[in-house]
Amino acid sequence: MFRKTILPLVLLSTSGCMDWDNLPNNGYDSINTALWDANVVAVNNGIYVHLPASNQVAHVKPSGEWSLVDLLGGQPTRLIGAPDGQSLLVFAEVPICDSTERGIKTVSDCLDKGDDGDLRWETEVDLVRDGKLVGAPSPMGSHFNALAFTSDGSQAVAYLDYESATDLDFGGLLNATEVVFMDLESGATTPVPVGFAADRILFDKDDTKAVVFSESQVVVIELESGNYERLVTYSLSLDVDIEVRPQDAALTPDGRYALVTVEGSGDLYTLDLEAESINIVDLDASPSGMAVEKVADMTALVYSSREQVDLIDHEYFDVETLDLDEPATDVTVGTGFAMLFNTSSSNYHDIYRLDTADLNLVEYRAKNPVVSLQISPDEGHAVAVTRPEPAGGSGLDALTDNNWGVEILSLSSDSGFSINLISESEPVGVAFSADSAYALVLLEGIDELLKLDLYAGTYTQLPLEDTPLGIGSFGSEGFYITHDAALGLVSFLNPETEDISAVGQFAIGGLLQSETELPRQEEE
Amino acid sequence: MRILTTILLSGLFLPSAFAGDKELSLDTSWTAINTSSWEVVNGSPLNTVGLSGGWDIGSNLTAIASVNWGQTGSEHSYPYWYDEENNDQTGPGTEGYVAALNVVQVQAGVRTDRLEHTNWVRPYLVSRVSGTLGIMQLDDDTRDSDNVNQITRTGTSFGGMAAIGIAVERPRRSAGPFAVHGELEGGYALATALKFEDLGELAMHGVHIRAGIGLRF
Repeated sequence: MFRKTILPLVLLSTSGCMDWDNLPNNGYDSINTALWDANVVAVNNGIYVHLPASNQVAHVKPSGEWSLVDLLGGQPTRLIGAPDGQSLLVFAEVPICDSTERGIKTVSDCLDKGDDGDLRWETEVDLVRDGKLVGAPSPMGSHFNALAFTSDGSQAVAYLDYESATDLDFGGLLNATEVVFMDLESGATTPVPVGFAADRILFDKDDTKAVVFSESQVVVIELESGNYERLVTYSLSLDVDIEVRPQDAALTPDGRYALVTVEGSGDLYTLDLEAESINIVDLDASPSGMAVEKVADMTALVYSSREQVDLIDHEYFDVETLDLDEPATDVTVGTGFAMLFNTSSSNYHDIYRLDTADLNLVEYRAKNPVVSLQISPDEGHAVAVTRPEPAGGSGLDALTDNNWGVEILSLSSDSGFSINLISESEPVGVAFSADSAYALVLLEGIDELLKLDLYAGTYTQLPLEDTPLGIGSFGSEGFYITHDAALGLVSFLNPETEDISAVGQFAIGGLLQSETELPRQEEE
Repeated sequence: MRILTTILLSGLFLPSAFAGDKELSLDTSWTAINTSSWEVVNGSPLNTVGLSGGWDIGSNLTAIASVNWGQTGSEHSYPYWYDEENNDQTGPGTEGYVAALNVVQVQAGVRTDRLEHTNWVRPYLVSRVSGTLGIMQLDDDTRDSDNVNQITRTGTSFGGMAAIGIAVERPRRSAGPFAVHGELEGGYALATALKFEDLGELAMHGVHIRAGIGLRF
């Protein structure tokens, strides 16, 4: 009665309520930590969002529902989606106070009443499904920040991705020579010694072996027994003074060979995982891109400084070189073909389609330098985003040079047919419909979703709730669009009905926290 | 205007040769709440204004009741650096957001004077119980009247406070039918937190200061 009737009446009669156009504003405050991270993780039934300011994770569904995930007091630092489309793995930190003083309930209590060093943070990995924590959190070394998954998502390997480590706090000693295997069903973790700075892990096609690439060393680990035994160790250098740093790695389709390119060297290491032997293929330079094409069973390598593509078969590892007009830095493979393009800061325009069966090379000429390239699901088209370059002409050429672009490449054409679209704004996201009939394109600062017909090059505009930041797919056919809104805003698109429903407000979860509690203090 | 009218009407209906056993005051209070979550609305110390009334129920004992309300808010935005290199926004929300709080507090209690009414200045002790309704509003696009993120959450808090104060009042026998009455008090408020569902909570305990001026009649 008091809460529901009297007080609201008093409020309404006395304050006149607060008009949305005229909310009281006593001052300005800087946002030091964003309320939410737009790099969300998609799962089959929605998305997970990291809320850095409140140290929470929100589970947002297309129905408009959202909830906070109870991580038992763990503060999330990184979210990673598992390949099964259902599971989320969360790197989280938990404050632990070793003080025996009474009445310590929060981090500040521990700092005030405890001794120096009583407060420490433990890292764990939490498995989350359908918005709920599954099992007990798995303890993890504080320096691990990345996971690699088997294809079925049943196992994962935690490792240190040094390139993305923004604030490496390892609390004293850091063992950079091990990775940790996780059984995602049981949550059990097993540290396995590998080489120094292991940052690339591949799995064979049956998920029975893991190949761990580290500095000057490659280790093969079996996954079937649960003991994670080292089957074989390959040394990439016989001289300890010579450090061999893997740059790129791939497994052949049959899983027998591991291919390793090396920074600053033209050596391509081919590791025979069955015969446990190692061979070196001599390349002309250190490749900038490598990809394995399964149909022709060969590997394509491109070089940022050389106008060529090398093709290596997986039987004899012979190298066949094809000349290009311009160097390529990236390779993306489809079924029976590879797309070669250049994303360096130089102003190269060529995109190539290489049919691996007959080595037919088709050249597409982009109007501007390429930023990214994606192949549609049916592999009938590719969409390239291009960036402005110094204007070299006049009229429409200058207009093209000065603007961003979206180029639709017909992959069924041997004449290099493409549709060039000029964009005043930077494309910030491209996704394909499940039937590959159209691409969904977002432009920076434009509150519309462009539905681009890949065959005609025409588009329709779907209005959005707010300025978009990115687009991605979830579930079987759904799409999500993140927006530039401080309090959290994501739109979900049903591609069949073209209905777009906006879900907001999720970033406010836990915003009014003031004290960091010690969630496991009583258990200690 | 409504408040002044109320005061005048009270005086008309209850004329007396001397200042009587009732009082009506305008007051303002500050509660200093030392928790960081109040920074979201830039609201500590929490300042309210209100209307309070009293009725003597004993020789030195007065029953008191009041209603107070207050508003506070803050605009949050990413820092802008004129140096382009440091001007990297760290998350979504170019326009930032506004957080505002509207509070209505009702209180009831007793005050006991320590000296007779013949004195101009009288110290007193006071204790009150209180109920507070808070309405939190957040908006990240104030130019859009239909913004999805126009967020409202309500919370309630119950508690009490105790204070010592000093009242200044013309001795009643010489004051005529109305006596100007002033109060200044300081104490401590204890209350449950204002809980705003998924948003979190705002603590409501802290040092409390109140000042009021009105009429005794």
